[in-house]
Order: sequence, then structure tokens, then C-alpha cells
Amino acid sequence: MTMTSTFHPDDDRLSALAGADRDATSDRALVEHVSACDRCGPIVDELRLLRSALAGLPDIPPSRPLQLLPPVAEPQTRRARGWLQRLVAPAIAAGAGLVLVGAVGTAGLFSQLSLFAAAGAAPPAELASGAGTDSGASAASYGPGLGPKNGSADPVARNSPEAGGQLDNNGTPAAQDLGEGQPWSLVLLGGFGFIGGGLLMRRATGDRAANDRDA
Amino acid sequence: MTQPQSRSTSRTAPLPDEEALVRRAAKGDRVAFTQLVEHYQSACYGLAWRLLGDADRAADAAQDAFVHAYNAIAGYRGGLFRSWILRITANASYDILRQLQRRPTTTLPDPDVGESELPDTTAPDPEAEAGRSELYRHLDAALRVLPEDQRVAVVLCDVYGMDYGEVAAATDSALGTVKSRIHRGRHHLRTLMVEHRELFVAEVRLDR
Repeated sequence: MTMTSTFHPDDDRLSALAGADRDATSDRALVEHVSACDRCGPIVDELRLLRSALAGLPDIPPSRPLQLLPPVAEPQTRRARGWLQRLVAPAIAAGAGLVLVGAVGTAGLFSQLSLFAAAGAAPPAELASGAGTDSGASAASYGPGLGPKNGSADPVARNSPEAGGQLDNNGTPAAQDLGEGQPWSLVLLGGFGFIGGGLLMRRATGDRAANDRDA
Repeated sequence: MTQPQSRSTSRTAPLPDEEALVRRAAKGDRVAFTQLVEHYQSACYGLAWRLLGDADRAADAAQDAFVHAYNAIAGYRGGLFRSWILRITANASYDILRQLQRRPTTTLPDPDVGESELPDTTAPDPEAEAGRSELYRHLDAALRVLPEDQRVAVVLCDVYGMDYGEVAAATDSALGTVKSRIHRGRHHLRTLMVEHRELFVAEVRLDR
């Protein structure tokens, strides 16, 4: 073997040739140089030996017994249920609470309507059409003895008839005092919304659990 | 740093009924999957150990790989199962390497430790076994001296036969970067093994 050139291929090209990379093996100048070069030929030979030895490195048994299968799906299902149920349960509980409060408020509203009917007085338009009172005019605030009396800074007490709230010319509570919005309906709807959301999440939990079982 | 305690074995050959086992495993047969993974666990663990240089981490990586494989086998598209599960193991091992890089206080394998603790090989002929195991012990020790990026690239490419694209995918690196790491790693290894040249001549059959 004789030195054919003072310019040698760089190490990457020699490694590529030793690794039988197509672009290197098809490089005629590279192959001819390596086959004739006293420096590059032995390097490529050693790299080839090295690659053969590396390819023969044996497998190694694990140092400890390995778990070959993931745990069955059941524990995963419990975990998946765990965090979802932590969300579902409060949503349903809050919904139930809102429904209760909304129902009590609505019942109070209807009892007011009944009182107006019994007294022969025409209820305000908002009440007759099912409109509620504002949040301050709760059922409790219409009860006697609750809150400060007339002149109080508390709008709840100030507007309640029993507390000497403002009355219109017919002796009925002023329409604007009784029904600027529909809070009890909203509370009721909110409650049903919470419960519905909770049930949907529960159903999703059930679907996921079923998928986990299938997996 | 912990070392593997067991003796190493030669490369795991495919199971005779491997295709049927893979089909059954892909349909959710846990027994078939267990047979496959049990058969290849030494290959997976060996790869993980050579990438991570630590017995416990290698066992963790192999187990992670088995979980990934179990979840992915329904989408298995054929080819050698060994190559498929080794790619998964390489990914799991590389994930652990990246976690270690993000935690600089964690010690990486000490290259000065462990040559004598490296596993022996088994071979039918005791004399050939002695020579071969010595070569492989030196090789594994030299691999551990390489910079991590070169070691990973050389192990995946030259020890486990992945092509450049597979190594690039496993290490999330560019193809040119991978080639460069492999070439530098080979030359580095060649330098490290110069004093054991006679072992190569005696034991390695050159496949040109």
C-alpha cells in the first residue's frame, strides 16, 4: 500500500465508508484513495472491526425483575374517576342548593301573588307575568321583623311592605321595587344548570371508565 | 451508581411464532404481549443500560417502554418486533436522559467506574468466551467514556442497528447532527480501543 495523496479524506468520510454509507461507497475517489493510502486504509479497517464488534455486543438481563405488563385498567379507572368525581360532586351539591333556594324564593313569590289575589288587589304587572323581585326582596325579607325598619339604609328592609316600604297608589308595593329582574328564576335555572353539568360530567366519567375497561 | 448484577447473554433471536404472538397482542391478548416482552426484556434493558449507564434507571426505562409498547401495539404495522420495541425503549431512555439534563444535580454515569463490574458474556466455548467477554467488557467501558451525545448515537446506530433517520427521530436531532455524532463517536472509540487491538483481530469477524 502506498500513499497516493498528501490530502486525506476527513474523518467523517472515513467513518462513512466504514459504515458502508451509500454516498461514501459510491465515491470512487474516496474508495480508491483509502484502498491505496497507508494512513486511511488502516483507519477504515479498524473502524470496520469496531462496528462489527459493536454489533455483536450481547443483550443484558435486567438487574431486577421487571413489570412486563402495565397494571390492569381498574386502578387507572379509579384514578380517572377520582379527580372527575371531585368535580362532579360539588357541582351537583351546589346545583341542589341553588334549586332549593330558587324553589323557596319562587314559592315565596307565589305566596305573595296568592295574598294579592285574596286581598282582591291587582298584583303588579311583573308579578302577574311571573316576574320575580330583585334579590333584595327575598321571601325572608318580606317576613316580619327582619332587617331594619323604614328609613334604614338596607334596601331589602326599606322596600318590604311589612317594614313600611314604599307603596303605590293602590297600596301595593311599587312595581319597580318588586321586579327589576327574575332572580329566583335565575337561581332556579342556575341550580338546574349545575346539576345538569354535574350529570354530564358524571356521564363522561362513566364513558371514560368504560373505555379504560375496554383498554 | 448501580450496576447490572446479572450476566449478559447473546443477542435475542426472534421467537418462532412471533408474528402470531404480535397479532394476538395487538388484539389485546395480554398473555401474548407478556411472552413477547419477556423474550425481549434483556434486549430492551441492555439498550437502556448502555444509554443510561445505570441499572436502576435502565430498569425504569425498560418498564416505561413496556407500558408504551402495550398502549401502542394495537397500531403496530409490522416489521421486526425487536426493532419496534427497541425504538420505543430508545425513546423512553432518551426521555430519562433529558430529565437528567434538566436536573443538573443528578449524577451521570462515572466513566472511571465499572469496567470490572460490567457483565460477562456467555458462550459455549470457554476460551472463546473469555476472549469475547474481555473485548465486550472493554467496548462497554469505552462506550461509557464517550460524551453522551456520541454514546447515544453510536449505541443506537452501531450496536442496535438503527439507521440515521431512526437515531435522529429517537434523539430529536437533525440528520446531519446525528451523522456527525456517530462519526466522531466511532473515531473516539477507535482511539480508546487502540490498546486492545489484538482482541479485535482475534475475536471479531469483519463483515465488509
